[in-house]
Amino acid sequence: MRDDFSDNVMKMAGAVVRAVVYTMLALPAVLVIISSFTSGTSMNFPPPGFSLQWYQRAFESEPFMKALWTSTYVAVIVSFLALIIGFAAAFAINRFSFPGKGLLQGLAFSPLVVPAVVLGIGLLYLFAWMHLTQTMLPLLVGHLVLAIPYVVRTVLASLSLHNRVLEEAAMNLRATPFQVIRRITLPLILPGLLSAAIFAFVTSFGNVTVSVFLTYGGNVTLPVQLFTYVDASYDPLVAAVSSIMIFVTLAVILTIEHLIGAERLA
Amino acid sequence: MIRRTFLKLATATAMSALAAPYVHAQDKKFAGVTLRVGGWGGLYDETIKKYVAAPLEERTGLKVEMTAGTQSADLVKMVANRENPPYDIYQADSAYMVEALKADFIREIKESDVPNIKRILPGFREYDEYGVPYSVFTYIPVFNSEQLEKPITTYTDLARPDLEGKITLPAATFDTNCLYLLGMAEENGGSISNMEPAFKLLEKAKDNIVALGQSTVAMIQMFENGEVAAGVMSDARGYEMRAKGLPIVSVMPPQGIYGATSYMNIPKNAKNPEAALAFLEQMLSDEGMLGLPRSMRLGVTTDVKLPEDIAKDMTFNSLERLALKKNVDWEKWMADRSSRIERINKILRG
Repeated sequence: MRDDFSDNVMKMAGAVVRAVVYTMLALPAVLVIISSFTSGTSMNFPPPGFSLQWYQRAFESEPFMKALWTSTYVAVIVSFLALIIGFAAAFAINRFSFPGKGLLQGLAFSPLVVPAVVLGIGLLYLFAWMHLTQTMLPLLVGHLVLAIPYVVRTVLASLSLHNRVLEEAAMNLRATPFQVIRRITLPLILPGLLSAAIFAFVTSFGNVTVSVFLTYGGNVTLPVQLFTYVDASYDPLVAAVSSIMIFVTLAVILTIEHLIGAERLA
Repeated sequence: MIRRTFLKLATATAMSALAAPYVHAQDKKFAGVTLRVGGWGGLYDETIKKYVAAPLEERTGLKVEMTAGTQSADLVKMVANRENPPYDIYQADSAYMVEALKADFIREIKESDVPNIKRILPGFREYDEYGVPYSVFTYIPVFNSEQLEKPITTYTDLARPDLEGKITLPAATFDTNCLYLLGMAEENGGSISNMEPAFKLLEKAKDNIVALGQSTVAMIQMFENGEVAAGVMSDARGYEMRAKGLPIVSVMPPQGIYGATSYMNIPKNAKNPEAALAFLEQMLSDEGMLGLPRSMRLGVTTDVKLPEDIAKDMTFNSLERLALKKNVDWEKWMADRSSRIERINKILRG
């Protein structure tokens, strides 16, 4: 009886905490989205009326649309490359013992402990030394460095959790190591790989701190464009562009969820 | 007679036809050139594109590419890429000019390079022949006239006891926005070398401060939500709030107004210095100079005549007002940066 009571209290407390956490996570985005449909000229909540004028202005704005395209293709390329490098690193860490394994693991996670500003400036100087600052390479590499730890961590968790009996069975049936990876390992850890790709996409797509040092020649990313816009002018266009960013990110997540199912992704 | 006229006309037409390609080529002398300009984003960049880049492109064929960024990041980019700068035009305000000169990556620009430099008003070219000043931000007290019974008239007024829990001030790390402290000091017998009067006033104003604005956007939101009734902001932001219907009054302190000038510079190793000079000439022309006042009511640096409807919303809109502009020893202001930030934080946290 007493246990039932304490269980119920814990259950209710858990539900309350979850509700508060989810609300706090979602509320800022919800407020921004609602404010973006305002018919007024300032970002007030609640908006005085409904209008799509700020979305029209956002889609008509060449700097924002160019930046959206830059952010999207950089994030897609970064996700793809981070997945390849991250999977290779995670596979090596998970399956093999070799000298310097600890160092590799440490290196893979090091971008998480270095402040992004320091990383941005460091990469800028590195690429300046290599005379490569006026190419897309610094931006791609900068985002890649930020995305790899998330990919390695996620793939490593998937590799650790999946059952290796099937791999061993395949090898007993004379499958080559490459065939085992391609036909057994990768399909089994696919949800983990796709989660990692989402992490990489979101990390790249929303980054300001590193991007601001590595953009060049008009190839500004959307978060940097937004950040500088706010510095000079403040109107609901900011909310409309932010909402577009949220929609793009959601579209990527929902597409992947639709492809493989939410349960598997979790 | 008719024959003579006909011959004259025919000759003139033939000469024009022959000269046309040459004249056209002269006009479009920057065709195929892309000028890379470090921008500050948003309406600011849009205005410069509209009033400087677009007319120049039409006349000379010069294509202008503006890359939005922050002053701090742009400075680091320029220092890291001295030999191959990412921009042909680098923008900096008075405070960042000190850093740019220390880093020694910008070149001198003389009147013979940009003839419109002769139109710059006295006192605006703060760094001899370095940098072309083209716009002025002032940092002045602003207040909501519906929320305050007694108007603010000076920087010192921000410490008035009746403003308890009603003001917002910029965070200490904003070098130009924090010029209000110099205003407080000089209004009370201090100077840039003796900021004590300002710090004493800040101590007094401590209870008035609701929050230090980490960005001007945050400060605007506080005004829009009615959380604060007064603060210190740039004249452009004051105008922006008025344009949105808020009853915001910009204060013109009678003992002096403090502000920072925006400069355009040409890096020493710029790829297109000729085109950059043409861009600066257009920036200082009447057409270029009136862009930022039109869109943001920012101050001008030349003798351009301001249209009445624009001038009424601007800080420096007359010779009398201009006489209130205080000169700032930027080198000293920036040299004292760390100690100033430390002192402000100590006062406000204490």
